[in-house]
Order: sequence, then structure tokens, then C-alpha cells
Amino acid sequence: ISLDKLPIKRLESIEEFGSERFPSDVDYDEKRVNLIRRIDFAWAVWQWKSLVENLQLAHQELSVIIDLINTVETNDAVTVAGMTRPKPLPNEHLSDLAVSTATKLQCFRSLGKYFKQSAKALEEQIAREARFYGALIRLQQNWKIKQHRGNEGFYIDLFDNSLYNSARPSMSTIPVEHDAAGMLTVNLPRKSCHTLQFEFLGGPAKDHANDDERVKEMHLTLREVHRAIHDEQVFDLVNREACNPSLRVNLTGIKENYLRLSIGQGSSVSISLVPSDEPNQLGFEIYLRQVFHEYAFVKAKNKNSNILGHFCMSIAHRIFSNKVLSLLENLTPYVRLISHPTWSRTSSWTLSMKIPQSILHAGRSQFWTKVVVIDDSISVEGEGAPSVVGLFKGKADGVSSINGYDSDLADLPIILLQQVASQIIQWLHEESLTVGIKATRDFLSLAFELEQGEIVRLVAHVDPEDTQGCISWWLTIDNGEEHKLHSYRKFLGYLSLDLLYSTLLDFLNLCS
Amino acid sequence: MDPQSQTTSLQRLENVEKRIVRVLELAGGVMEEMANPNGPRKDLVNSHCSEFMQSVKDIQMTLREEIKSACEYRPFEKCDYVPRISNEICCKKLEYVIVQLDEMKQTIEGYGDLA
Repeated sequence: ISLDKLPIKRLESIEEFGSERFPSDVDYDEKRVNLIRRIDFAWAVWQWKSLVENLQLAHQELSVIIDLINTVETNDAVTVAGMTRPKPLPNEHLSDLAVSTATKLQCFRSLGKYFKQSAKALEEQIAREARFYGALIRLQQNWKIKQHRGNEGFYIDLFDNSLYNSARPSMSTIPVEHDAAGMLTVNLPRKSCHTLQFEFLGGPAKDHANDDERVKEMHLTLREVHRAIHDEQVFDLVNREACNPSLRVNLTGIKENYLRLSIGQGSSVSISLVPSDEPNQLGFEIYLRQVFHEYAFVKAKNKNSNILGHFCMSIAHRIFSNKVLSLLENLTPYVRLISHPTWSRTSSWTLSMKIPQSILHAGRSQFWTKVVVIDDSISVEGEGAPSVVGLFKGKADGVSSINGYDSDLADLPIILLQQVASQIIQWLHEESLTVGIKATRDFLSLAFELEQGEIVRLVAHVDPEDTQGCISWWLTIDNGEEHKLHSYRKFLGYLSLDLLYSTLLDFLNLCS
Repeated sequence: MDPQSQTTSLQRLENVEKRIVRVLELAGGVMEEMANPNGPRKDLVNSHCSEFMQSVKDIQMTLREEIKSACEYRPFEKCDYVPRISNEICCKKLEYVIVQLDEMKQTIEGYGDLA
């Protein structure tokens, strides 16, 4: 039994003089401690005591064992003979089994997942590779695909050195790469001015293009590079030949990827290697490629065949024949102009004039004159009438040549018109004989003798500048004597063949 | 597997790849079935396993055939680059001719308008 003190302030003591002494106040913590002290721990002390005793016993045993282990470790006196596991209790056995079974199931599950994931990954890889190799095989049908040593990857070889020994151009091997989706791409690096420029392939904007279109685009790109390589090789050959001195070709300027040549009197030409997006429509470009390709790659002829000289002479001929053609075109429509198929250094045309249907007899139906230009020499050939030029040169052959370049070109229209005029005279002569008029033929005139001995002449006059008719006619009447004191001239102007023929018939009346 | 005459060699090899994927799927299916807490369904496991064995046999047979019949790879015996450039040049010629013909046509049409 314990009694609490009443919470009354008690006097602790009174002094003699009456002053009271109270006990000091107890603070909070002290009050708590006092309360704790009042708890009875007697029952716990008993349990605590047995626990402490057990621990002490265990501690003693462990110390013994530790000593034993230390002794065995040092191998001094005792070694381990054998160890037996403690026999598992049935519930321990079962729980071990359960754990191992669960572990096995877990392994199966993860293995199953691993297999399925592998299958999926393999399927995706196969699909990617099928696209890649499918595209590669399609490209291989047209291009040489090679593999780097050690299976590092593929590249496309655009160079063929089987026929012609030259250095391999730097852009002739193109690496084959993968894009982000694993599909085949061909990327071409930008280079300096003497190669072509290309578009980069495989950007994200091309998602809409299917594989077919992309392979076709790659074909186009590879074709461009292939052509560019050939262009480089042609330019290289041109360069080499141009630098050899030659009579037909003069090198007048040289820069990087640029040559200037003079090919005859006053004509210059340049050959250059430019980026491909500058279009050049000249047929000469095509011809240059063809000529070198044929000689250097197909027939592989002797390098001294002077291909460049032949090419330049073709250009010179082309320029010259264009000049000739423009002169001939000025004669139309007075005469008909027909162009013939030409080869590289030959051109030819025919000028013709048709006899009208109404006065057509048996015999020829048209006059023709043929103009042939080979390199820069012109030859004129006319049917029937002796060549005017031949008369100049003292020959009466049907064919005669005008040699020369530029200097005689201005005379060509006059010569041709005189040729035609003489053909007309020839025809009139034949017709007059047919109808029974005695006529004599001269240079460009037809003469008839009248009863009184007068001589009437039809004289042809040629003027290429005359727009009304390049060949016009004069009528002259002489009294036949040497002095020609009484001569009469009348300009008749342009006369069609109809009118000429009817004029002839008029003479018939006069003469008979 | 398809008989050899109907498919190309490449197609047969691609088929083998697909079969391998299938075989992996079967193995995964069997393992998942074995991990079934109620125990594996015997018929399913049996059908998967028999399909697996058959597929592996077929794969082996096809690969052996393909390896036997693969010919030696002789690259570029007849390289066609030279005729190819000839063709390119011909194409350029044709383009040029077409341009000329178009111009001629325009000229003719021009005269037609005047007439």
C-alpha cells in the first residue's frame, strides 16, 4: 500500500521566529521519474533474468565453438573428419521442393519469353534484310557490285578498265549503305567542279516512295555517274590529243577543265567539263562523246588516229556547210532546194526547177543542179548543160569543182544561177529544134535568125539579189553585122517557163 | 517445302528464314506451356514439338540442297559498261532529235497559222 501525498502545500518546518519553510516545487521531469519509479517491474525482471541467463549460456557455447574453429583452422591439433547436415524436417523438405519448382517454372517462363522475343527480332531483321538484298540484287542486274575485304560491306564499281588503260576516277566506287530503316541507299558526296552534282537520297521526305521507285531513282543516279565518268575520260583523251601539235588543230587556251581550240579560218571552239545541271544542247557534245567512245572504247584503235582532228574538222565542215546552206536558201523559192542526208564531213543539196505540166513533153521533167560540200570544198554538178564553171576553166565536163573556203563563197549563188540559166537555155534550144526553129546557143543566150538576117537573142541575166526572180531576160535584136549599129534591147524581166515557151512559139511565127 | 521448280533459290532461302522464326516461336510456346502453373497441356506440347522436329528436318534438307546446287560465283564475266555508254549516247541523240523535231513542228504550225 502506498499513499499519495495530498497535493497540499505542507509546511516542512517552522522556525523559532514563526517563518514558515515550504518544500521546493518539483518540476515535470522529476515528477515523471517519480512515477516511473513507482511502477512494479517485478514480473518482468523474472523473464528478463531467464533471457539474460540463456544468452549468457549461448555466449559461453559460442565462445567454445569459436575457439574450436580457430584451433581447427590453424590445423594444429584437430582436423574435420566429416560433416553431416542436419536432417531436414518434413516441412523444410516440402518448402525446398516448392521453391525449386517455382524457380523452374520461372525459368521456363523467361525462356519462353526469350524465345518469342528472339523470334520477333529475327522476323524483323529478316524483313529488313530482304528489302536490302532485294534492292541489291536488282541493282546487280545492271551494275558491278563488289564487297570490301572482310565482309565489311558492299560497294558499286562503275569503272571498266578492260579496254582502255586509264586512271580510275575518284568517284568510280560508290559505297552501298543502309538508311535508318535498314533499306539500301546510295549516297554520293559533293565534289569539286569537274564532277556532277547529285541529290542526296534517303531523306525522311521520301517516305512515300515505295521501294520500286527508290530502286529506279538509284538506277538514274548510277546512270548519271556512269555518264559523268565517261565524260571525264573523254575530256582526258581530248586534252592529251590537243596538247600534241597538229596541223589541223591549234590549242589557243587552256584552263582547268576547259580547252579552247581554233579549227580553221576564224572559227574557235571550246570544250569544257561542267556541272551537269547546266544543260548544253549542242549536238557537237553528243558527237564528241560518240567519236571518242567508238575509237577508244569499242574499237580500241591506235591512239595516233587523231580523233580530235577528225572531230574538229567535222565542226569546221558543219560551220561551213551552214554558210553554204544559207546562201542556197536565198535562192528559194525561185528554185527548189532539197537537202540530202549527210555524214560527218559531207553535205549535199539539189537545186531543181520543174517544167510546167502544160508544156511537158517526153524527156526530162526538171532541171537539177547538185551542190556537194566535202570538208570545205564545194563541187557543183548539173544535169544536161555544160557547166558554166567548166566553161570558165576551159573544160566542158558535166562536173566541176569550186575549191576554196570563204573567198569564193560569195560567187556561189551567181555560179549556180548561171548554171540554172544555161540549163533553161539548153531546154529552149531543144524545144526550138523540136518545133523546127533553127537556133544557136551561146553562153547564156539563144539566138534566132530572122528572114532579113537579123538576129534575135534571148539573153539570160542573173542577179541573186533580185527578189522578183533571180533570172531575168533581155531581148536583143541585131542586124547581124559585126558592128551591130542598129541594135535594140528590151528588158523582159522575169519570165516563167510557160512564158518563155510561148515566146519561143512567137519566134516560130516570126522565123517562118 | 515448295518443289524446286516453282521457286527461285532466293525464295527458298527466304522461306528457310521464315521457318526458323516459326521454330523459335514453337520453342517459346512450349516453354510457356511448361511454365503453366496448372501443368502443360499435353496435346499442345505434342503438336508443337512434332511441328518443330519436322521443320528442323525440312530446313536441314533445303539448306543441303541449296549448298549443293550453289554455283561458283564468277563476277563480271561480261561487263556491259561499254555498250551501256553506247546506249546512253544513243539516248542523248534521240533527245536531241526530238528537240529538233519539236522545233520543226512549231515552225510548221507557225506557217499553218499564217496560211
